[in-house]
Amino acid sequence: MGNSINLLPVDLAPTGSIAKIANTLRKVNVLLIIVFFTGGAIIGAILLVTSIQIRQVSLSNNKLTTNIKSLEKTEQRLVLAKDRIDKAGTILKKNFVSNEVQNLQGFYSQLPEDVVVGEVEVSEKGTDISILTTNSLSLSRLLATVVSLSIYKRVELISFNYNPSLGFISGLHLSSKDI
Amino acid sequence: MKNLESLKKMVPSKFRPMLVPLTTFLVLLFLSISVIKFLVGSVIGQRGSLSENIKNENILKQKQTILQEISDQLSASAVSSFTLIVPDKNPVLISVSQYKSLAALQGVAITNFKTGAENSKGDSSSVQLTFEVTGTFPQVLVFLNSLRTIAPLTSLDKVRIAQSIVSTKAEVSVSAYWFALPQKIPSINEPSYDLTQNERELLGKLSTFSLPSFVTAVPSLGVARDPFK
Repeated sequence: MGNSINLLPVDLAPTGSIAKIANTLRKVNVLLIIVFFTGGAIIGAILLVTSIQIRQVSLSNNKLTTNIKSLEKTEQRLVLAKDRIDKAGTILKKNFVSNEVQNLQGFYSQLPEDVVVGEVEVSEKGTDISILTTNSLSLSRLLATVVSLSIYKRVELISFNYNPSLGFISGLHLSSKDI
Repeated sequence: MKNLESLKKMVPSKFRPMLVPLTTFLVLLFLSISVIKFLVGSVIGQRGSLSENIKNENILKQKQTILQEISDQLSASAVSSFTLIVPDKNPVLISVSQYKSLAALQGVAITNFKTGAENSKGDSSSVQLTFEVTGTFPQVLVFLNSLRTIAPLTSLDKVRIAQSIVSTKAEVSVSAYWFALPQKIPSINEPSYDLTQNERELLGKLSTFSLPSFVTAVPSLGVARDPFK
């Protein structure tokens, strides 16, 4: 064992704290290099795995796109069907007068036999109907029928006339719309 | 090297032992930050691209399933019948023909057809058609009710019924509609939507409509090229 000889002047020799910091920095540098390479390797591996996944998904997408292209005629049919169904729906919504005619048929079938339907007008407002009854008994039967039927939500007696040679002529406004 | 030596000389000799580790630390720190920033950016970019691809894949898979299922349910003939129910051209002549067939079937007389002016709004157009129906009161009602079951679709606008001693006459006003056909299908990556429950119900209803029967005139065999020879 030889004695260690320091030839540096005392004032030029590094102080203890600086030597300590330098030593710590060296250790930190080694750690940083390890972290740098390890982290780089991990991130590189993630990049590799992700790029493989992207490639697989892209391949699957390409295959699906080809399949869908072969189903283009079906897609055209679906688009056309949806469009026509939508348009049919808009026409079928304008069915108030049709429904009123259907109600009128139901109403007519329930009328007593001795009443005669005169003029009828069915429009967006509802149904205006004039009904002839020969005597008061058939008139009361008619009104009882109108009241007992649940076809119409609104029944208005808009005119009422008496003709000695014909009988009672009642003008009714019927509507299935809410009041 | 000379620069490094001169740099070393500029540093007080007390701090010289720190010069190399400190420089190495700073270089490593800079390198780490820039490389990590770049790699993390790449990973985020790739992840984004992957999730975008997976999203597309799901859309395509769903679209493929819907189209494969619907392929059996929507035959070409069924879809072409929809264009007879909701046509793309003025259907008045077809409607008149349908009404006449229906009238003949139900024993009522149908006369005095008149059409109004065309109304166009966007891709939809309509025209008003008026006519008279003569028969007994119940027959006329049955006929009017049957109008809702025949194609092309029309809407009943107004009915005026007048009774006489011999017969019942109804003045009927209906609107006939036609709509332009869709011009394009969604792009490959756009999702496709299956028929909703309401659409399926309407589809079932439309399939019950009585369609117009067309007769295609086929030239008979043995016709001379020049009819005058």
